[in-house]
Amino acid sequence: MTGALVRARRLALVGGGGAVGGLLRAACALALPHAAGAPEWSAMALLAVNLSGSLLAGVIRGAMERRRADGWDGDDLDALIVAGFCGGFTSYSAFVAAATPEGAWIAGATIVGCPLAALLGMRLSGGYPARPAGIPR
Amino acid sequence: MSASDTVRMLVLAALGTGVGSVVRDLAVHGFRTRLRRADLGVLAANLVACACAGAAGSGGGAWHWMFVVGFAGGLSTWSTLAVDAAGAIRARNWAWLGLHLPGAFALALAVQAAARLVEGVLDGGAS
Repeated sequence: MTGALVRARRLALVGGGGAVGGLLRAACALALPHAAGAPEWSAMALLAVNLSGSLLAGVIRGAMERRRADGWDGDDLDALIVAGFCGGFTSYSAFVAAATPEGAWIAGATIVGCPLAALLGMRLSGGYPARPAGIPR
Repeated sequence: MSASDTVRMLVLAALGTGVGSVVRDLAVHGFRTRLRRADLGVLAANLVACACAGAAGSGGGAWHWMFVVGFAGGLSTWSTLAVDAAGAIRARNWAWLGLHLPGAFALALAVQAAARLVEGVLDGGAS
């Protein structure tokens, strides 16, 4: 397959996965009671979306690292699930828009929690050892 | 809201997110090949998405679902940033974490506020 076809295939997978992820995120937004005067639920649901998407991305990336040692490529899975679905499901712009002085703890929980969720996902899938090589304890 | 309105909003959001995700991947690929810094592609995509969401203003129509929830939501990402940050935690790259987590958040807040200000001025001038 030529380079252009490989690139087009990746973009199609990213776009398809992103559309499904965005659909789920929009469905979560529609299911929220923020219209009834509880905007904090909207921010908390977004926190849950971002945490779960980061956890899933960590699981997939960790699994890919583990399988790559056996010679498996995994680029299609990365495009469809990590860059596509998880990228479309989670949202940084919505997180910033929802950041208010009243919801500062949610912003803090997102900034601290998402990387830790991804780290947990990597550890759960066994793709990363507890400590990378070359990093002293 | 009728069921058909709900389906329409979901479809618009899905289409916008699909396009936004593709643009993000192109940006990340461009930064990776030209600067060997994919993380800067994620940062740029997130900041541009915040500017788009800020400039779009508030509202709940089709434009909001397609452009703000869809395109800006798909252009920006937390999951890729989180995976990169997890790698930085493992490598104990605290400078990277400071720039891309609290630093990028402060920058994104400023970008979104500036975009809202510009949108307000343009909107006021038009009316």
